[in-house]
Amino acid sequence: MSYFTDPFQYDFFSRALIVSVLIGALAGAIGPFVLVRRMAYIGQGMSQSILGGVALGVVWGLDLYFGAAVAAGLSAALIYFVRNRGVPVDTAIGIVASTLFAIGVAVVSSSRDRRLNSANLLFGNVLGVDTEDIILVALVTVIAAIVLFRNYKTLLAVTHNSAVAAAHGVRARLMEVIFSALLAMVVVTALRVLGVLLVAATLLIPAATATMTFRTFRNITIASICLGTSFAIIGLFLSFHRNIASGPAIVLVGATVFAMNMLTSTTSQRNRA
Amino acid sequence: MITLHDIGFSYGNNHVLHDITTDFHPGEIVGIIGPSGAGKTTLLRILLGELTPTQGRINNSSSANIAVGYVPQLDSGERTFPLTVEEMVLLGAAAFSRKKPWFDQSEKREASRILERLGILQLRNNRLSELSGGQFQRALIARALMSRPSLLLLDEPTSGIDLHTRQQVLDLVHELQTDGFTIILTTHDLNWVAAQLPRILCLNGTVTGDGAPSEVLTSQVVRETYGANMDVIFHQGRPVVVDSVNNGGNQ
Repeated sequence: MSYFTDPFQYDFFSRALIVSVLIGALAGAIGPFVLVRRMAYIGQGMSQSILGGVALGVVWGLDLYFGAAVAAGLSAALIYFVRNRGVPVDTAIGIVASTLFAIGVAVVSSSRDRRLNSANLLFGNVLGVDTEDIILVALVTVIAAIVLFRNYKTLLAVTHNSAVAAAHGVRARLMEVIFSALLAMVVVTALRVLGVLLVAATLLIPAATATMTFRTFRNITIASICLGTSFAIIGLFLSFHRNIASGPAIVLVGATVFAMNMLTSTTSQRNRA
Repeated sequence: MITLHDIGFSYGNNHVLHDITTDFHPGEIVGIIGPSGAGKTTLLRILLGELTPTQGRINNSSSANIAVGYVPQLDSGERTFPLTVEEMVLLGAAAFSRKKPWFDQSEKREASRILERLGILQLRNNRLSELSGGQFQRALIARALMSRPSLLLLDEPTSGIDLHTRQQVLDLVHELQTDGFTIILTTHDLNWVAAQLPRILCLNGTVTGDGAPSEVLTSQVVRETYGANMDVIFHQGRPVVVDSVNNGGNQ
């Protein structure tokens, strides 16, 4: 039993667990929408982009999350701007994300500020989670949950076919803004535990695993939330006992379950054939 | 009644539509035909309210806003989406449903009633990817009906489906017209609309013909619409457009 109780001797573990569970649930809820919109790349791009904002924010004495939020908004605006100049969307994301990421790496590599630890920023660090993080993540999760609860059906309608949804009275543009805001919330709040490089994986792996098993989008969303939460908990214990960064631990747990589920599905399909 | 007065639309310097004047009466069914690039989809998007005309105006004789049900072209992207038929149909009611993640029992009953009416109730728990082209077309119509429309807009409802399914879709469209819906559809299928619909609107940037197929479809109108020399013959009292035997080929 000590495997499960020992970590709680350390306050940081409890704090990290709360934050990880909230982020796992939040990413699990948004993930199916990201998956079916085929927006994995924009999730990855947005998460990479925030490194520049975080680095500059810390250097200029601002809050880490403030810098991340500004960078997320800036990257979305720049992608929109570049795309509207006739550049394909994947190219626009690649250029904007790489540029903002490069700014972040440049600032981090030239700074001696201890808060700008490149490994922690890239891959997450549970030791860095403090009470303020818990309050912020809890607040964001509650807001996101309310927004998602109230707009689930209209978001789904717009995700399935924006033109049809708009024709049937849904405020499609507003839903797109709400979705982008929800995505930015996940990316920014997951920064501390997951790091900027692994956020996209936590959005996609629970959703992709659930899609293989469940038929209805509602059940996929519920399963994705449960899986996201479970991966976060198991990954955090793994991180503690194996002394590996929290972000990779959570992603590796998810990837293992995804692979097992995929192999099981493939085997059962072959057996049925 | 919906009346279009001198409607025009441009994408930048590209003038897609100009001087479109026509009207659509309650309960009628109209087929819009024309070649690719004729502005059929643009006109449909104007009627949907998705695009605002760059010239002219649209009048609605009714005091209330027109509730539009939209059936898009068959899209493989939509079919790979992890939704069941019932889930997709219910999304037609998303705009006026209560602000919670699930639909009420009354809405589910309404969806079942529509699915039964369209003959696909037994497929309600099937994933969209498991449907044939005709079944998916019916599911798209069911979603449009779920939005409680008075006007149904169907974009190329006969493309990508076999002849048997095409007839089924047509029968369904006629049944819906009998129920009082105003129906406007676009199609490339000239002879199909000529044989089956009471009114056609020929489009090639502007209206080149408008009325009953037997009156509108002449060699001259077909040439103005499609830019091709075609003969119009009559078979069992219906016009049929065929390749010209005199100088066949496009101009």
